[in-house]
Amino acid sequence: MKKTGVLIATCLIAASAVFWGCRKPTDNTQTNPTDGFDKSAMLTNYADNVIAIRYLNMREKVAALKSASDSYAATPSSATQSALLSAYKDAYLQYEIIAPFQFGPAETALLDVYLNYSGGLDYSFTTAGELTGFSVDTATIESNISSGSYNLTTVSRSNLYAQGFGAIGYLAFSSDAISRMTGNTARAKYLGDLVSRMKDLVDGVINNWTAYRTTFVGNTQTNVGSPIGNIVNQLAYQLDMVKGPRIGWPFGKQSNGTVFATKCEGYYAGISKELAEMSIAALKDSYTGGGGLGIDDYLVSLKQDALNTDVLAQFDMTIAKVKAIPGSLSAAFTANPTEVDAAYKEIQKLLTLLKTDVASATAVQITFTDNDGD
Amino acid sequence: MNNHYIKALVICGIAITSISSCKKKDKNEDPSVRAYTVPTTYSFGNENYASSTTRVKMAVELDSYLKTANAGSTTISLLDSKITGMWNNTGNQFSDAGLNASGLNLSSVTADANLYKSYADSVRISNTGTAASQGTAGYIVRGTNKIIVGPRGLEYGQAYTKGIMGALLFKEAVRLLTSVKTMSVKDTAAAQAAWDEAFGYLAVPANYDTSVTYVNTDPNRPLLWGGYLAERGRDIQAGGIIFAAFLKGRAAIGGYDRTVRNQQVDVILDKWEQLAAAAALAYVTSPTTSSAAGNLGTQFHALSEGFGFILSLQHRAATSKLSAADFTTLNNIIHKDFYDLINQTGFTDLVTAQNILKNTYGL
Repeated sequence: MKKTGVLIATCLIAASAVFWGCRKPTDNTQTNPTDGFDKSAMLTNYADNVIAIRYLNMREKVAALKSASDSYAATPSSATQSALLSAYKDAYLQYEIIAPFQFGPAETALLDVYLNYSGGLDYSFTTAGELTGFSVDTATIESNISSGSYNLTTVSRSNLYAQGFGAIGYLAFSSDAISRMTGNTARAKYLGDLVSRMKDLVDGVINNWTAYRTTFVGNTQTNVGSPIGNIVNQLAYQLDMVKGPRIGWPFGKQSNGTVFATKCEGYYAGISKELAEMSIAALKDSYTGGGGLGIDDYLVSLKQDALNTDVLAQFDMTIAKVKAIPGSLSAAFTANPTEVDAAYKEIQKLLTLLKTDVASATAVQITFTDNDGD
Repeated sequence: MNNHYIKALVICGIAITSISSCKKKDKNEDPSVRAYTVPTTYSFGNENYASSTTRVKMAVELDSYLKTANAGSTTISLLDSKITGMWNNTGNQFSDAGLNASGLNLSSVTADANLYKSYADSVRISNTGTAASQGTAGYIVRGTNKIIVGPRGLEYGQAYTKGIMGALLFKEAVRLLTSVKTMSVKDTAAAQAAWDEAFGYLAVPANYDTSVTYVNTDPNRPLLWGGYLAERGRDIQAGGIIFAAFLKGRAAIGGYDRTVRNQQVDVILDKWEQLAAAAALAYVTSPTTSSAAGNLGTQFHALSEGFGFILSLQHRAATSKLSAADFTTLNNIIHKDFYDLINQTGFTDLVTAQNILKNTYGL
């Protein structure tokens, strides 16, 4: 009888082995690690304490920008211009803070594309004449103003380079901006239209988040298009933007050292360095869930404490190195290449951590690059 | 031997046989089913899929040749003799001598062969060093390289490659596997031959492993559809499911197991078609994202891949979930001028295509 028991047990093991052997091989994909971490609580923190608050701040800053730009357009003077510069800088820096949340309603509205077009990561940055990086298409802007007929919603390169923060910067802060604005109602109208469009887009995204929040909080998967997948992808994407269009490319990293000083972010306002610094700080803010439950805590729950420590330290190191660049970025590209290069190297290290290590630890596939090699 | 012992052995035997064929408990109508085991690699002692593997390699070599035009910013001309020779396998144009000597070619097994040949030819013809714009064929910068597009933005090289993935590889796999379903269960030799040839069109190594990341220098790496199993099929576990079904169905043929054999045909065709749809979905979606907006090279490359994958749905099995009407809608959208598609406010047409693919295939 005992023997039989053993035999039956052996038989069951054999049978189950055969049974398991027949199962479909699993793909090495997005099965969520069973970590006991409350991902839904983390997403709730992102939705309510991070994203919602930062969007509402953005709404306020854009409203302030609107009133400052209206005053400037009505009475262009160095006083209204400097008030506008302050509002513009506030709104632009706040935009860097919300840029890591370019998914869901922001992605549907193409918020990043209309507010702060960067030309894309897959675009050669080797010739001066081409519209790349944070170029401003002054020719299209001028022709839009003189013709008075333009459709700002069209998704074409020249149209995108004729609106958003870059175009507003040109109309407000380029060298003879005040004199060209004076008495020019068409120019004033165009500036007004650009800021109004910015306001409408931000309002639209905020309104659509109300409905999207349920989907966002309820989806704890990490596959392509999932909230966690999107958060991690954006960490990598936005930092790739710092490495590329924000600092590396205008510095000449794609053009054998040929500098394109005018193609940096916020060029006309001279705030490129502050924007780059804020962009990285904003990514740290997103990474840490604004101090609440964030990707950092998720990593710790996955027993990736060491990686988390490295990432946090590298964030601080990178921000410090960008801060250490003297003067404005566009001047530093030629005046202080050593400091720019030192910052660039730290950005690369941080990018590897986020794009490779964090993505892999969280089982997130980085999807914004077409890396299929064909 | 005592009674319990015998009883246990019998029970054990029954348990293992019934489970090892991996069958759901159904009434076994076919009395001639015999025990068989499903291997973990595609090795059955008599498998042979050289013909389909050869055609896949030919398709890849022609693709690589066409892509030489994409390198860098200078114009690199292509030769008609080379393209036509590879297409028909004349004049020893392949660098792999085995392909030249195979006696096989791409042209005779591709549906709408003239169309796909003309896409390959058009890469050469439009590769003139002219910058493309709406209405004018030429090149468009893509990263540090370029793509060769027609007057409506279609990248001809992708139309060729993704096109024949459908019109040759997938079409043949559907034809072969569907034919197996109609074969007598005793006709194992014919069924195994057809099954093997279909497997070759998937283009994965016999010891395919979804957990392995194949580097592009690995001579055993998956090619074309095989590569897409991982590239666009991860979320739907296409690699694991299709490969397992190929193993199981092939084993079932040897076991005279018609039910399992036919089930695996359905599993493969259903998943393979879903893979084509998943790839199509990715490529009609990425051009609408903020990271691609305004970047014609990236957008048109993706749309051209999507073009090929949508065309491959034309060769779907009769059991497909995709209605004729929805296919027509998809086909009409992807045949539109790409310059118009990417300039539509809200990307209306591409969103329509996305929704059809998502809803039909549960993506």
